[in-house]
Amino acid sequence: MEKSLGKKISELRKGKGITQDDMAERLNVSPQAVSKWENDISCPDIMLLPKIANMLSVTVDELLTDAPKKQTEVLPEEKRKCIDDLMFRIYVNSAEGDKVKVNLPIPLVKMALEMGMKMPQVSGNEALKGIDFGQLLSMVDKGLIGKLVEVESAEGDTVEIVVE
Amino acid sequence: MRIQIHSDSKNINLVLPSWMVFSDLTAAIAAKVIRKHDKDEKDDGYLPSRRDLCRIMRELRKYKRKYGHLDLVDVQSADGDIVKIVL
Repeated sequence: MEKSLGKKISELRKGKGITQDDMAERLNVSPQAVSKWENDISCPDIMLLPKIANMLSVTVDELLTDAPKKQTEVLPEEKRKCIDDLMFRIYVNSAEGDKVKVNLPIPLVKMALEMGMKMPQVSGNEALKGIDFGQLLSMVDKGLIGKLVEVESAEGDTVEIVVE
Repeated sequence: MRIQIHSDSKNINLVLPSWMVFSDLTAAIAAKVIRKHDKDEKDDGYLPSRRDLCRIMRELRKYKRKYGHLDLVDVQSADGDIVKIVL
C-alpha cells in the first residue's frame, strides 16, 4: 500500500516537530490548506512541492514516491537530530515480489538490544541475522543518517536499512 | 492501535484501544504466553520477561503520544495481500 502524499507530509512534519500553523505560515498558505493536504482532501500546488520537500529535509522525489531516502551522509554536530527522534526503516523486497516495511524508533531498538533480543526477533526477518545493530547504532550516534545497509541475497531478496 | 488485513477473500480491520494493548497487564499476559509456548524451543536463549515487556509497552505508549498513527509494519505480498500494523 503506497503511502499517500498527505500521510508523508504529516509524518515528516511531525517528525521534525513543525506544527501545521508553522508550515502554513512558511508556505504562505492557510493552516486549513495544510490540514486538507494531510487528510488527502486536496493536494499542494506543484510549485510548493520543492519548498515543502526542503522544509521536511527530503527530495521532491522522496515526497512523491515510496522509495527510501537514498543518500547517506554524516551530519555535522549542529545539524544532528536527537537520536531519540530517529527511526530505523527496514525495507525487505523478496524475489517473489513480497514487500515488508518495518519502522522502528531507535530507542526501541536500543532497548531491545540491551535486553538481549536479536533483530530478527524484533522485525521478524531472518535476512537481518548477520547485521550488527549495535554497530549501526554507534554509527547513527556519530551522525550518520540515510541508507546504512543494502544487502542483496543470491536468491534476489534485498534488504535496506535507512535511518531517518 | 490498528491491525489491517486485506486479502482477496477477507478484509479484517481491527481497532484496539492503545491503553489496553500497551498496558502492564497485557505485558504480563504476553510474557506468560510466550514462556508457555516457548517451553519446547529452548535453542534461542532469549525470552522477554514481564519487566522487559513492560518497558517496551511504556516506550510504545510514549511513541503513540509522540507520533500518533505511526506505521510499524506494512507487508504487501506478491499476490496483493496486505497486512498493516499502525500504532
